[in-house]
Amino acid sequence: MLAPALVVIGGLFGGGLADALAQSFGWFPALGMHDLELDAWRAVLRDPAILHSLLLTLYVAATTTAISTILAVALALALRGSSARLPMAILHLPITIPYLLAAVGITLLVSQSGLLARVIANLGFIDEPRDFPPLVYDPYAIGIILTYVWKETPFITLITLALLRGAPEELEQVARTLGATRRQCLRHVILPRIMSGLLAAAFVAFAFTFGAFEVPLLLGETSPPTLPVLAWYEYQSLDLADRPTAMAVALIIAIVTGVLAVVLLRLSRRFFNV
Amino acid sequence: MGARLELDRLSYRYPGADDCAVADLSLAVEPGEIIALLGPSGCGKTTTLKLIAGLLESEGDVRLDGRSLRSVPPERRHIAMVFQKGLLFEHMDVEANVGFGLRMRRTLKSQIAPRVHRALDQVQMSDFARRRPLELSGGEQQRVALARALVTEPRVLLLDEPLSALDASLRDDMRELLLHLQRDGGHTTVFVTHDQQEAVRLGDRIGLMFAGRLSMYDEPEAFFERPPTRKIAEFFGATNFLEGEYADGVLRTAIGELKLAARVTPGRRTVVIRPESIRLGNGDNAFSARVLECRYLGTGMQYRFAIGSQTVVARLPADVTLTAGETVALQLPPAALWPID
Repeated sequence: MLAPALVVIGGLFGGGLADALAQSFGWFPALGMHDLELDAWRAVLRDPAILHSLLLTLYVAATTTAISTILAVALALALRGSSARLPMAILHLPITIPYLLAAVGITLLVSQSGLLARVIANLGFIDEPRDFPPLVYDPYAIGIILTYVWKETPFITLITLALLRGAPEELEQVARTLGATRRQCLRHVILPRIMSGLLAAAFVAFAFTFGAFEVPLLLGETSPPTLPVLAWYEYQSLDLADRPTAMAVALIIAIVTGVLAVVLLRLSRRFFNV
Repeated sequence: MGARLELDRLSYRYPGADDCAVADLSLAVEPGEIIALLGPSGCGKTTTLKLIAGLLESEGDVRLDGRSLRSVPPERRHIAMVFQKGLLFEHMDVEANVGFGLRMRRTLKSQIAPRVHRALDQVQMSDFARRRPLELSGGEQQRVALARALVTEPRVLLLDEPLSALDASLRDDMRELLLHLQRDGGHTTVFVTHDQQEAVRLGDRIGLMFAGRLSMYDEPEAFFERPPTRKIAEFFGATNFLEGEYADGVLRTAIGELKLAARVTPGRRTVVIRPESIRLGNGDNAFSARVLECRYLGTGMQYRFAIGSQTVVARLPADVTLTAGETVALQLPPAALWPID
């Protein structure tokens, strides 16, 4: 029954991964490269710029995930008892907008020539729009983080809402009659109950942010680029000899994501009995 | 020792609902007393418990030892509630579940462990302290839930259908355990059930509810022997209703004249008699009856008789063997005939 699906998954992802691995070791028959070597990996692992890119990527993904998750939990808690359609429609909207459009929208909104800078300048808080702090192409990647938070908060919120609505309301009620305040209920009953699902949703958001290149390419500083942007640069290079480096960088992204997935799974099993 | 609980004109309407789930409900439960809220599904029993616990905001008032709980949140009422399904916290083991209330109330750590162990011991679950809720049967979960509530030493204990999720043998054990713990701890207890047998066996008093209203609040015997209305009599299994004109000390009905022991004002009246109160034999109110149907009930026999045009149902001992079509003398003792509205 599962065989066709496994073949497709194995072929697409396993095959792609194996090909990337082979190329990263310099085995690329189409270009006449038949020798397995470690040059690309050696270069990548010795290059301090790669470490900067890795740290930047981790910072962007972790910050985005943390902010989105906190906002999502707050939003889901506020919305869980409501049957109003408008907030749900507003929540679904960002999910339907492509990342490219979201990045353009954020630029129009928060760049130094953007809407927010003009409004604040007109209100007299700053002399000119260009006095507005740089929030895109900035060293703290604020524009990138804002874009991802706007896109990912609704995604995590919808999953959290489903998790919350799946938990019986009476579980909180019994906790209240046993002496728990609302805050204690949240901390000791609700959050532990939804935590494994919430961590999974947060991980999906993290993995996506960690591996995506469009938004950092459009809104990020050119140096250092995030790892996916770096892989993209190397992949796009006219010199095909750069291809093993591109693959090595892409594999670092896959390895970090894979290690995190395993750690998270173990944590979930250890602490949340899942 | 438990507190005196008073409900004063308690009313609640769920958002968007046309009718009140609970309407104008008043009753008092004495310290250490156990009362049953009985009624069909959807009559507002569980809602009443939630109003007492402060989980829903109601009109009217709940008082403990005379003190209003109107602005007291659930966590400060010291009223513990055990739900039908147990509702243990799945991410905690049994011991942590039982200690939950004490931890939330910031009880000294040195006191928590002995109290938890004592509570687990009371419900015979000491050997299960390290188990997770999902590893327990329904009955075991329910006992842990009971220990979790009792360990907080509540002033009032609320039990929402605590036995209905259990199978018959477990239900008997749990009922005995409940009664034992309740008497032992002297907890003022309100429990909800739709099973009149359970209400009769456990309750010092029973509050019968229909459509959010308290129809009758009295000792169990009163529901059987002195039901005020036909609906209440029917809910408690009475099936024989005789209507007639009461004058000069007798009720003239379709089957003949009936002497009544109860005082009745003259006029059009209905009396009820329970199937188990009808006897074979002669005496006051004896009539010739033809057997229409017999049914074996395990502990006795149920017969349907025709007295003239009136049908009556009687439960007789198992050793009485009558056959359909047979004619016998059937007596409706005057003391067993109770006038209803």
